[in-house]
Amino acid sequence: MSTAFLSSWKVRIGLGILAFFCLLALLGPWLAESLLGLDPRANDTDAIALPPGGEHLLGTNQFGQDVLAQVIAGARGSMYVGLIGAVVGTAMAILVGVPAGYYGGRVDAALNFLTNLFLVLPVLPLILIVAGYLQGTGLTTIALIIGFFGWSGGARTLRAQALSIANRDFVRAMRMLGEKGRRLVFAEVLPHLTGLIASMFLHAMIGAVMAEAGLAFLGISDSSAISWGTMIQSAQQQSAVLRGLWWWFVPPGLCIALIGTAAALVNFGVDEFANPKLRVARPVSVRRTKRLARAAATTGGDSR
Amino acid sequence: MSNVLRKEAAVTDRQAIRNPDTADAADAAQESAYVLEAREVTKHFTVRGALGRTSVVRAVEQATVRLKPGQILALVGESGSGKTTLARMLARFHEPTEGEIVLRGEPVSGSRRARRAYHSEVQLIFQDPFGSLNPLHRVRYNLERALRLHQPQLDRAGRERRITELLERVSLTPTDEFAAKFPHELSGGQRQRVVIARALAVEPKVLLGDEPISMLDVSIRLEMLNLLQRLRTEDGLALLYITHDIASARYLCDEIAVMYAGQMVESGPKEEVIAAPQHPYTKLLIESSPDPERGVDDREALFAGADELGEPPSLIDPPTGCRFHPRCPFAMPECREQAPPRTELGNGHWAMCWLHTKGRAGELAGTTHAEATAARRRTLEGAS
Amino acid sequence: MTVGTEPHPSSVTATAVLEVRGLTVEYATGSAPVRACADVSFTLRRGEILGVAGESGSGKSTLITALTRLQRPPAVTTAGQILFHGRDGAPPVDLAALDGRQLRRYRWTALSIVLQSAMDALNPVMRIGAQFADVLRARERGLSKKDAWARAEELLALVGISADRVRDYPHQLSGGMRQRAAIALALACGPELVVMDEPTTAVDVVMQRQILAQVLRLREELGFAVVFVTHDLSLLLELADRIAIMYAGRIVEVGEAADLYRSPRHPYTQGLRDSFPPLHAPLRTLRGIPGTPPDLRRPPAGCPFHPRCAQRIEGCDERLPALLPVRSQPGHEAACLLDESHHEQQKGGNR
Repeated sequence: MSTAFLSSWKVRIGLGILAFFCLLALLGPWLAESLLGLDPRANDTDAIALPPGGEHLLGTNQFGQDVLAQVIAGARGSMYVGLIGAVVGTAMAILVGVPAGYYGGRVDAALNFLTNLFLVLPVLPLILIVAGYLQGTGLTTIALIIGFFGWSGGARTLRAQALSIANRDFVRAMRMLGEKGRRLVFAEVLPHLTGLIASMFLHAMIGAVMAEAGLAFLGISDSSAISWGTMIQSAQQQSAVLRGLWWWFVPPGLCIALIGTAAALVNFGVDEFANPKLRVARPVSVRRTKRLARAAATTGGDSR
Repeated sequence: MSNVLRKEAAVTDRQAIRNPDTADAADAAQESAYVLEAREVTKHFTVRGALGRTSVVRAVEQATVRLKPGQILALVGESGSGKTTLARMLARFHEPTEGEIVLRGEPVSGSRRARRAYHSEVQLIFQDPFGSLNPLHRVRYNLERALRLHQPQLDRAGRERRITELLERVSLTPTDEFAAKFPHELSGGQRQRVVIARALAVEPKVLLGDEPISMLDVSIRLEMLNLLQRLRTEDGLALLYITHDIASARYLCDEIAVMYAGQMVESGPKEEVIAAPQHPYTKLLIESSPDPERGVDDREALFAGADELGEPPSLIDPPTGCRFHPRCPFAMPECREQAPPRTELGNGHWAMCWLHTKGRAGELAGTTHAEATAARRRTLEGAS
Repeated sequence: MTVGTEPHPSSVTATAVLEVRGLTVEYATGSAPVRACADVSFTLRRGEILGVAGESGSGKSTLITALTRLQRPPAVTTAGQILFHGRDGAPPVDLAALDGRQLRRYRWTALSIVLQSAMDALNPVMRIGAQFADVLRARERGLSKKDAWARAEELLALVGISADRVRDYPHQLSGGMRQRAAIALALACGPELVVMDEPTTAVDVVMQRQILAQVLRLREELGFAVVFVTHDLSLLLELADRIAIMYAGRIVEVGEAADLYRSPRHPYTQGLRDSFPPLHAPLRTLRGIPGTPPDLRRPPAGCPFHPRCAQRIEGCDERLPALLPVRSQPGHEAACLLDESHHEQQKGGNR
């Protein structure tokens, strides 16, 4: 199953991009410092707002800080928010969606109400208010808020899936054996949702990266932390666009766009894999069929 | 006037037969011999249609099923006859709307603990062997869970031994190899064997088989029936075999019960029921079943008049009286008005048909459904 | 092959309507193509009912889609001919070689199909009559809408559905009625050949009997030939004139229904016949066929049935037996080394 899934080039490229950014977030700052000798916070007063060039590959910002080093450090910040946000969001989606679908009845009614409530809440204004209320917002707080407000869509999907699996014969059979509810959920139902949950997690992560950038742009961020969002925000504050200082905002913006692309690619692959109709029309399958037909036509000659 | 009297007589008659006290008190020993009973169970489903309209599906009406240890009862009927609903009530997936399920003479309650105790004695084999095993778990996991839940006294080695025994029981050898397999590595027949082994791990007294062979390849069906037969003779299991295939029912079972449109219409020893059906529907069902022995030669006769056999009614608005009367070539005015009483025919054979009360039962043997229908049409045309 | 030399019980002429020669269908999956139908040859006479019996994986469904040219990738017809002989006496056409546009001329008028689930054949959002009218008017340009609907009523009457049902949607009909409507639709343009793919598997026995009786009656009236594919041999024994048994993508035995039942030549046919317990004859313990059908991705060498065969002899695991006429029974062919004609052939050293 997993090998078939990985055979799609879209999935491979998408996962490759994501893996690259994860590695960058993990090892990047250390590599930048030890190999290139770059410190994202070091102010080079001789080189303020320099365009990309020899010493500073991606130029410097208004404080003379190296943009490349900042992008690398920002990867850690952004991916950190993405990860924490996704973990919180996915966990809440599972905790609310799966029991709602599995147990049904009153449990479902209550949990479904909660889900629908969060679905229709105006999330962005609420985040602004909550962030403003919690003074001194660190990246962790931002991530938690993003996760807390962004689980409802996933919960709905999981509820629907869990509902259909809970009515399958094998769950009935295990219930008839006397398995307890919690074990049925975790050993029988949940493993069938791993694919869905993995794809949801990926989405939540990218959503959180974007949300962090958006919030930072609106000024809700920890000004001392470095993330792609804070980089774009400070570029905007200095009206980098008007001044033509493109290297301040293009590198972090491009990183965010790349991550979005990666998500889209993985998703196409998941669709092809999950939908058998698309699978039949998959290029590999069509190519193989054509080749076989051609071979038959040349060897069979007169008959076909 | 006479009509009313007759109606009353019939009602008291029916009550006498239906009342479990009078029927069973006569022979208390007989009652304790039953391991599982469904007494007069009825199931109505409420379905919500478009625009919020609700309607009631009368899936099963006052059906009674009794199982003795070491006995195989076949429940035969077409789709929509209520046989699967009855099986699911016996498996406690549905609560009966009326009536009760009785295990060893004790009515079972709906509590969670009672349900668990019940399922250590009664297990269901599902129709679809591809759906009733979780594709993510190995064969071993299924058996091990069953043993952990129902034989908690077993230690690890004991469980291993039991798993080997169970797989040998259902002829999945070499057992080590099969225990390590995932369902998708098994054929349909092998999966159904795993399902049976899982049910046996509980050491039940009753197996309910909901069309257990209908989704298997033809050539391996008999092996499965032989396996069920062996479980009965060796372990003394009681088995309810639910099927639409009357020939396989005859091969496996001791007694046959026939359902039509949610009602039991006839029950008795299999050879008696098949050789001389005492209800027009049973007769139609047997005449419609393919039987190569009967005649690859005389096809014209075989299919004569089979053009118009009618269809089962809707269970939302079933016919009054006997539910078979709109299709029945022997139908009388009584059949439309009132459900027929149960007539005991001796040897445990009974039928619910007005023909018996009216002394017309002899007509059943002399004709076929198609002939009778044609004759009836001629009479009706002649009359008008 | 068996083109009508022997007398035929039915009152039909003994000319062929369909000749299938060496039909091979492969699935382009995985690294090597899987051969789901291998070298299938048979002849269907005008007005004849040929039953094709086989289990899952026997290639019977693949055969149907190849015959009707409804196959989709990854299935490919890699060899063979499907020769259709029209009523008009024109030279036969090879259906396998036609492109989509040429094929349209033959669909419905020459060859039509009844699927296992009528819901697949009927459009759920169109009234029954409109679907009939669509098919009829596509073949007969001049037909007015009103006449087409009138014809639809006649066709439904053929299968015992009352005329007022013509305005119903498919979901308003019962399962059995839908299946009968699908049969009526298949007969709408007077085809010479109707391919039926398990048309009664989804309905109950009583309805099954009713549908089969109607197919037999309509065959007498209209004279079409039928290829009837099913897993239920007991059904075919009552219905079909001749029966072909498929196993692992090949026809292993073909013959008159009564011959095949009384003296099957292939051990698989014997096993399959003995897999149906009798309804009235005395009961005895039956075994079915032990083992499981072969995996077509890795077909066994020699006869594909030999791993399950109780009567296998030396050579079964090496030589693939050809489908050869059985000496003592005209019109009967079997592909088994046990059969006498294979002994002789072996002695002759032909193969």
